[in-house]
Amino acid sequence: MGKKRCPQCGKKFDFELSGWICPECGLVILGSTEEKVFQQEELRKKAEINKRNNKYGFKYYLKKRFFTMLVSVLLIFVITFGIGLSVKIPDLVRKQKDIEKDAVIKSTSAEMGELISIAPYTLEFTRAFAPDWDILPRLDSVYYLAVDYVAAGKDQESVLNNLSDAAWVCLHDIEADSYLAPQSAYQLTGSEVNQTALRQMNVTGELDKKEGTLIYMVQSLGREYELCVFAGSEADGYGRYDISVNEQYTIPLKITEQGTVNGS
Amino acid sequence: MKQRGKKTKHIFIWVISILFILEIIVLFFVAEWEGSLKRVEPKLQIESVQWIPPNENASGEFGEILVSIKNYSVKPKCYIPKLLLSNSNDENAFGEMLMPNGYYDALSAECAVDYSSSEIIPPGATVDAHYRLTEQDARELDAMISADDTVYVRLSGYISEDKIYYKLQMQQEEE
Repeated sequence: MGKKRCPQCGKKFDFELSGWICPECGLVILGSTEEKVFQQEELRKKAEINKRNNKYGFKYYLKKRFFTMLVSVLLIFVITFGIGLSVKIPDLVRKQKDIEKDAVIKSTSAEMGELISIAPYTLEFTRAFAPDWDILPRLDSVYYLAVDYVAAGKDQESVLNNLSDAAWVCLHDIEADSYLAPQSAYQLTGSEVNQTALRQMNVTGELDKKEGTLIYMVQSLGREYELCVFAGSEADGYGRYDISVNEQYTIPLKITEQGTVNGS
Repeated sequence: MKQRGKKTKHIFIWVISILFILEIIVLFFVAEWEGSLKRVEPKLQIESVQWIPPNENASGEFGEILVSIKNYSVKPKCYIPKLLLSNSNDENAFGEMLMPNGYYDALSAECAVDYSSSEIIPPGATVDAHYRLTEQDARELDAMISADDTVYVRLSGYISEDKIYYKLQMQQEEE
């Protein structure tokens, strides 16, 4: 029959073997009492199981639904990645085709002092001259040629987004047929003090300032030079030349008097 | 009915899991592809190449090779590439490497710093690059001409183009 609890004192004993009398308190177990005891035992067992499973708690809820939640999360990831890939892959295919096809570059002439529009920016070269600065090293093989510029538009004062994301400049030595990149303060001098001084004078190797000075090293100041501005779609890389060029502006320079180079 | 529902649920879960794993793999390859597009070098091509012999009166000169190089891509090339001479247009053939006469050669020697990357080939531009031959280069070139009438040249270095070989034109032949 199994042991059951006495409804009075709670002592567990086998009702049949003990003759329906509790050995602890002496209570006589009648038929109705036995049924009540049986129901109480069932209720107690259920309560113990529920307590163990924590049926009405949050942890039990999570445990029951864990698998469903996992599948839902996977489904969300699959849909999100799927949408992302369906946008990314055609973009990469287009970029691959752009790289493989030959460049089509529109050429435009401009003048010093003319406002050049490189949307969403504007650029103007204001002055070209031969700087006579003590902080620049004296070299036998080259001369310095400086070009001042002013840029505006979008967030030109921002260090993260400015004209250098959409354009870069080089100098064309027409006689030597060589294209020369501007020098940064770091490339011009090895002295950190002089580098700092050059940066404070807005000397830069890119179009990354609102007002800046580009410095080129040239073989002679007596030759013909032209500035070449290459503009294109804003780069998503961090390198100076990551721009996909589609337009070129050519600005001729001429020496008008000794030591100074002005636009024509 | 309940059994069929359970089976459908299992199939659905398997399909979702496989799709997820496939997408992770595709994502990896797409990231690699995007990275490689950013590392692509500009596409250069030789337009013409010509050997110019030395002046008869000049001593210590051994001629030069004049190469017209065009940049067909949208990004600049940040130095003038070296030139490879060979008797064969086989990619693995041994050849003679020539250095270009750079705009900043004298400056680089004066400062003991390499300024060659400051000379660029902009997109769409064609530049004439001069490759002056040393005595050793001239001897190698003579040997190549003696071995075979045809000398092949191609640009060397990280250049995004097929390894295209061009036949060296000898100026004397044109005369």
